[in-house]
Amino acid sequence: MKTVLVVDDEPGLRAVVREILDDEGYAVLEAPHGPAMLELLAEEHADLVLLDVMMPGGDGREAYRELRARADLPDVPVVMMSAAVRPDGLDPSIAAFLRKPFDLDHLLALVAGLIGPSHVGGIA
Amino acid sequence: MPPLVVPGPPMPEVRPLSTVSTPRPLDAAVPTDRFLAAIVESSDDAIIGKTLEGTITSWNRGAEILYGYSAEEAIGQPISLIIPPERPSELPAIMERLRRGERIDHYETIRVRKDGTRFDISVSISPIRNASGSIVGAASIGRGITERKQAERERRALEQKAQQELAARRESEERFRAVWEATSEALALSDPEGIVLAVNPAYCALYGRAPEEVVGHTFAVIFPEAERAGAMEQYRAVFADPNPPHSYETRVQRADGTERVVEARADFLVQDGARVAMISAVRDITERKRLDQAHHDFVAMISHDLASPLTVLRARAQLLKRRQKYDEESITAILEQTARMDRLIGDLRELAQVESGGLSIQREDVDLVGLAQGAVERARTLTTGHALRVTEPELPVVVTGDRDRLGQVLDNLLGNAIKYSPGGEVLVTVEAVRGQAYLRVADQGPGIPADALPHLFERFYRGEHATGDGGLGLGLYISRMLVEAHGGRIWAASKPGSGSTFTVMLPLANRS
Repeated sequence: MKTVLVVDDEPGLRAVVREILDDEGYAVLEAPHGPAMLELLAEEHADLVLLDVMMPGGDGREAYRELRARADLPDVPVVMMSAAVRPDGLDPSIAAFLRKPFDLDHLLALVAGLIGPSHVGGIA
Repeated sequence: MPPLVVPGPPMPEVRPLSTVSTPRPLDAAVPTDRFLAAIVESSDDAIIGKTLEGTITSWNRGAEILYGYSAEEAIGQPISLIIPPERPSELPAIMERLRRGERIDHYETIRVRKDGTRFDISVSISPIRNASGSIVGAASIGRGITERKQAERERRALEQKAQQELAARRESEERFRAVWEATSEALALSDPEGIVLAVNPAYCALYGRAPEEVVGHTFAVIFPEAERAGAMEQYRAVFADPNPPHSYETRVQRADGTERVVEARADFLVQDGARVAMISAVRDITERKRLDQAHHDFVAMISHDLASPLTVLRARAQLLKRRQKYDEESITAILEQTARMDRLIGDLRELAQVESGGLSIQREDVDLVGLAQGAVERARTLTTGHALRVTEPELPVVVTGDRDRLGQVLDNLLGNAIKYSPGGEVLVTVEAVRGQAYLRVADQGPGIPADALPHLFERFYRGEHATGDGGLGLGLYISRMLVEAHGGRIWAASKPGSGSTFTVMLPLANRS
């Protein structure tokens, strides 16, 4: 089973993404901000991170840089999300950029494109 | 008429003929009297003798030429003959001095010729004594000085003109100096090498330096040390550029090390087609930049805050469509998010209202104690983790104001106290001190950093710990506008670790 970590300060957003991905058979982890994401990734496995850019208490771009800088954390692909058309200062090494609000189909296609359908390597 | 007398060296002192000590005759064959008479006759100076009554007794050739009267015409006439009638007091004064035995040397005055023309004259007059020493008359030696006087007048006119020009220049200079000194724009004049020639007080104030620390030194002291060489290079490039940029922005450093953002315009002083100095007009735009940035951040924040609920709404709606069945959780989320958008738009509407001055205040007597109790009751529905309490004074504290607006301020303060403190007590106190009502809301939260305190009530300020719970972070700004519309003030005090206290001060209602 593939696991997706959703990092967003908005609980409503995390909840709906969880349900969407859950319906498709992905496991979902949640973190409300960058530091919580780093903490979680040190302990739990995730195949993909959906990371919001604008979060009070920590910019998503900084959290991304720190994730990449830390050797003890996995080299997990990261999709950055923002309401801005494309915010400045996005690291070119990110897996993709997802603009909010997004379409459900687009989100699912993006996730599947990056880590494959949930069942691959997991429960058939 | 040709000049009668050529201006010459000062005249020799003349002694009255009768009292001249007998000179040693140059030629023994010539008797002394005749020798003197010959000198008198041949002199170019006008030599005139007169009695103490003023009757002319002798008149030499020089006098004939200077005054235009022949000796026959003049002798026996009163001396007033040659004194302009417009100077009536001159003669009596002279005669009086002569009677006292005084001599008058090189007295400059005006005399009149036979043809009525006036001319300048320098005259020396000596009393004539008889053998017993009594004064019996006077001898005067006069020399026309019209040309000298004319030259003097011209010189004086020239001097006056020069002085007027100087005064005019000084006045114009002073006017420019006044502008130079009064303008709020920082101005500096610098030479092609960047050496500062002059600065105005605004320039010194902007950089926090005394004029003598700037004038005579390179302008580059306004940059951090590491950037000075580059600044000099750029300066020379601008100086040489036929089309230099009209204005540019740069970051500078004050003497105390603080940084400012300035906008500078350069112009040139041109002499004979060559640039000899740069005139820099510098404006401190630090605050404007900060506000621009705050505005930019605010717009970014609004779009973010509006996009957030919209993202959830869209995802929920698409999820419902995909599931094709009633989904309680999605419906609830949709309702929550629409309520949140409603609050955001309400905040924006409120902002537009307070900004445009369209705030209407319904004035009535409002008891702040009752108001605080009502607000605390409303706030109790927001939390179970806080103890909310009102301490009441014995007497009502009444202000004149808008009950709903003031209630809104209290709701905002209580909401913040609950939101930003994990629990504990939230205490509302109301008191009246010296004509002012004080309303305080104190929490036991983590407190507010000192550097954030001054900005809490600014329009676009949003603290580091703000949460995306639905508001635009405009609550305190709107509260401030509401309190100020009531003639009051609002401020915050906090010690990190021991909570924050927000105080609203309002004038007490006039009670007769």
